Amino acid sequence: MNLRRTTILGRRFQPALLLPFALLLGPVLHAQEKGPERGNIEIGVRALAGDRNSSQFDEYRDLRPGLVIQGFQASLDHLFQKNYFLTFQTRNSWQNDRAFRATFGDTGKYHFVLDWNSTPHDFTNTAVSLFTPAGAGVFTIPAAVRANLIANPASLPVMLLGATPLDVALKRKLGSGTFEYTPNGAWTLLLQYAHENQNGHRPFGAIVNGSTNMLELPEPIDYRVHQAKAGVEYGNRRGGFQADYTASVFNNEASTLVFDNPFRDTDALGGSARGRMALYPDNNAQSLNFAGAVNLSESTRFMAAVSPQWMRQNDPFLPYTINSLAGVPNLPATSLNATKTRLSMNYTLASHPLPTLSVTAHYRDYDYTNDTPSLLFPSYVQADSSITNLARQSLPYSFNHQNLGVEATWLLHKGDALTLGYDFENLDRTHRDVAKSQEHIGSVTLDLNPKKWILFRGSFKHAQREPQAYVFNQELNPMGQGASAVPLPDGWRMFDEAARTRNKADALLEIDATDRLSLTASYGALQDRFGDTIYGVLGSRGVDTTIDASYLLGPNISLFGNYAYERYKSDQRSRQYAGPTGSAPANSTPNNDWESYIRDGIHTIGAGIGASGLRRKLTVDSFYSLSMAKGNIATRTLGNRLLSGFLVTAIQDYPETGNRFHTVTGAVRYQLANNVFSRVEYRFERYDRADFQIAGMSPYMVPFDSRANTSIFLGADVPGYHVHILSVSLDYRF
Amino acid sequence: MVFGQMYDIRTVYSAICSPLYLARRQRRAEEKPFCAGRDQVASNVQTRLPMKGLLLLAGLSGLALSAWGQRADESPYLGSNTCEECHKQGYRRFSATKMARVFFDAPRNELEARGCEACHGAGREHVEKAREHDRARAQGVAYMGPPSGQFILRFGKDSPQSAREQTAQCLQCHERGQRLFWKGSAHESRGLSCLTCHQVHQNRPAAVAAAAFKEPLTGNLTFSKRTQMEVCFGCHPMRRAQLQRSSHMPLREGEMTCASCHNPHGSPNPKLLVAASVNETCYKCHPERRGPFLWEHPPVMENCLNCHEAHGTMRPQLLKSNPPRLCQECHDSTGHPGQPQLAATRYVFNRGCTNCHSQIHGSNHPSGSRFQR
Repeated sequence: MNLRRTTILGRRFQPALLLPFALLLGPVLHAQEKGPERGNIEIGVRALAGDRNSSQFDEYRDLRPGLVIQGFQASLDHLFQKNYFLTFQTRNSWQNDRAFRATFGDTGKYHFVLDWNSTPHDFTNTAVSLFTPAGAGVFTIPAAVRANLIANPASLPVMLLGATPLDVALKRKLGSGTFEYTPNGAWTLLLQYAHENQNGHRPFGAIVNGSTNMLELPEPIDYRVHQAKAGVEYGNRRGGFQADYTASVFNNEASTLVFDNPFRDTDALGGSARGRMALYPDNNAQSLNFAGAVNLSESTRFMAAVSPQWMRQNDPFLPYTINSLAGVPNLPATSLNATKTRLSMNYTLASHPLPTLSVTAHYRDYDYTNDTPSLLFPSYVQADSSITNLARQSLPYSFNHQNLGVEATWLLHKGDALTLGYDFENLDRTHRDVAKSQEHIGSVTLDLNPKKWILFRGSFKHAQREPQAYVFNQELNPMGQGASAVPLPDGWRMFDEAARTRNKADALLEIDATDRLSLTASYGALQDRFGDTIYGVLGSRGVDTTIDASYLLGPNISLFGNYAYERYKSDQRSRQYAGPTGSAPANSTPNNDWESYIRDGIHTIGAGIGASGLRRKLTVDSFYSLSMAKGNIATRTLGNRLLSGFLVTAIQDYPETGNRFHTVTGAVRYQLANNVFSRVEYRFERYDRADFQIAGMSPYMVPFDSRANTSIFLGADVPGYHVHILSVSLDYRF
Repeated sequence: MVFGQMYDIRTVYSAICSPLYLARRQRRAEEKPFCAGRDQVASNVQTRLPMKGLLLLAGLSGLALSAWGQRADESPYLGSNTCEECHKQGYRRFSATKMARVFFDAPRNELEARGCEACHGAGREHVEKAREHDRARAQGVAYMGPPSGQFILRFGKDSPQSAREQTAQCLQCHERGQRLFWKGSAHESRGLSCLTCHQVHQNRPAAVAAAAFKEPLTGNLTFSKRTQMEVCFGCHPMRRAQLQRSSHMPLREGEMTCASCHNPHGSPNPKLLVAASVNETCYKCHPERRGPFLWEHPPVMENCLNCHEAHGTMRPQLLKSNPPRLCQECHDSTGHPGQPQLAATRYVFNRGCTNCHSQIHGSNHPSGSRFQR
């Protein structure tokens, strides 16, 4: 399981390859005529101190102590006394976030680009599990542990003492090649191929024995993604044309997850010895993309883009359950044979009929047609436990977006412009609550540049979305919910379909008052109101403000600072129900309504200084940044607790969620010789997190919820960290 | 009369670089197969022009030869070497760029062969006025004529040309590829020009290691700031703040950039996206979520942004809000979806609803209609 560490050790030799390469390249480069720099190599050592045992620290990077090659670059021009060129770049050469790029070509005629990079993604460093991998996508529990748990489920906390650490992380490795050939200024041919491997694990939830036992497992990730593209382009002064074919093939080498039930080793109705889940199935998508533009006159251009795409998926179905005793009927099909077709069409006419007027009109049709068969499954097996004779029917959801818009811009003066726009959107959906909705969007923007040193940009947008009718989709109900389902109250709306009034305002002010001072401030607000909604999302509002400033203290010293604040609010209303029991009817009254209010506030601060001296031989860069976020979720009951039938007793404000990310960086760079630079960099990072949802995570969660006494979690926490990073490097330029 | 002598030399240069004299240069090039700089420009243009162009040039060369004896300086174009004489530093910096390599070493058409004048327009009047100015200064006389800068196309904030006029010069060659939809695009209509984000006279300065945001390896050195993202942050400062949040895509680690999802040069798609929709943009890196699935989650299939904020959030997995509240925005029914739930319950801690409904992006399991299998 400890894939990362093994890989690291196996790649220690790689710097040894790069250094001789650089040394060999040196004479070749010097043999060329004296000119601009041909490349550089930066090698150094890094030391770390502090507590860095958090996946947040290494989430997408690999900062390790020891020898590092931060970067290498070599550019060769006029190879073989022709116009051939070759460039080679690397970054973090043998770390887990390394990247390589090589480009070879004939200037202005063709070029090949080869890229290879690796991206880590750590999810947690605190995961432990009783499960051990036993083949691709199979996790088992040691027999003795299982026997103990079956005999005495209360022994779970003792058994969990034997849980072993897991490396719950992904590594993406992407290799790609591009060939672009330009036989003349008009034609271009393009060929591209990319292949990506994703390997690792990520936390994944599963349940067995109905929904009694929650088992958090490491989801096996073994993806292969192939992407290919072949295209041609022609362009001249009158217009251009592009056509390409793109294929994307996704293969999941671990498309099934099978795991032991720690609390049962035989199949029975009500529970199975093992659980089985279908992970992402293989799929592929192919598209044709045609785009063209023609200059109808000196001032008018017509542009079009038409792109059909076909998506397919036909992985064999797993049986209803891995439980041999569940007694399920046959499947209605062996696989889905799913097909979707997406047709995107965009037409734009841009014209400048007058020197001071420009008009743009556009039409867009995005059609997402789902031709997948709708299958009726007469039975349903809840979590590999027992059959529930509730029919379920898969539905081929489809939708169509049509947009028609026009925008006119008046150039009032050089740099000053007023723009008015109108956009109409028609949205058709199948198998959803709203079959048709329309949205009208009006906008006005103003750009003012009264002086060279001041620029103002402002915009306001108002949008009104109206569904033609909001009708609950009955196709899944009662089939999906069962006889005990209580109808949703009138006024329940899903926010993505509901009637909505949206107001959006943005403003940006840039001031370059002097050659020394530069100031940028921005303001943005987005408000959504769902007027017809009584239950669901009632509204949301986000406001953000930023200010950036830089000041040149002297010819060799500058200061900069920035501040941003974002506030987000969202209100939602819901209702708690009780289904009918015996002769008692369902309890669905407004007295059990409750509301929740989400409030987030995030400050981001940055400040720094850059200076150079000793005839620019010495440069100093230093900056500090802080991102500080707080989030609150408050919840209130709207009913009267004293009335009979009051249900909303388990209600509370959630503890505040927050995090702070500090970074302090100081870097000193000194030119030791004409082409040798030294650099010393110190960086301090501190991340603090308060998140009630994961802060207390451990494999055994009974202290939080007694019903979790037969549930096993990974204990996937993302704690805070504080790290001091010191690196010293030499940068040799040639 | 040093200037006068130089003027004569430049006149000859102008004739050499003029397209009318390409045939003459071609003969020289044949005698000297490889030569750098100006001669190479001529030779490359000749070898790369199509047959029609060769015939045309042959005719023109005849005209040129006949004109040689009369006036060598009739072309309004003087050639890049003339520019170099006064703009040495700029010329040297420009020479290191990819564009200069094409212009000077391998022009594909007459426009590119004009070098500096391909973008700045014909330089003859500009040079003449500059020399008049210089002569006046040398003689100690006040120069009363118009500034030479009026006679050349200039770029940037100080340019008398509008953003559209400046951009038009670039679009002579670049109105294709990713720029096919520039006209009418959001950035064009807001008065941005190419020079708002790019510099062409020199490669951008190397990014220092202390930079807050790293960027992927790239051959594009034309940005006006040290990294592509810094260019975007100039007008979209809130994005910089969002990317510093605990839940973010790997932009600040240098694994992707704004252009991984957006095409700032114009796109037929909403929000300048590189793909036809939000979801298709996400599927570029997450093709496993593309489906089709047996059991689909309609809001997921329509728009990833119903639940996620792609630029960064304080919630895990780029979520707009935490489960269960996020899910309860749409889901309410008998049983746990309708209950507000206490914090210390399995419906809330860890990943909330997805502790059990883990296949929230879609399931292909016959018993997966509740996204539990």
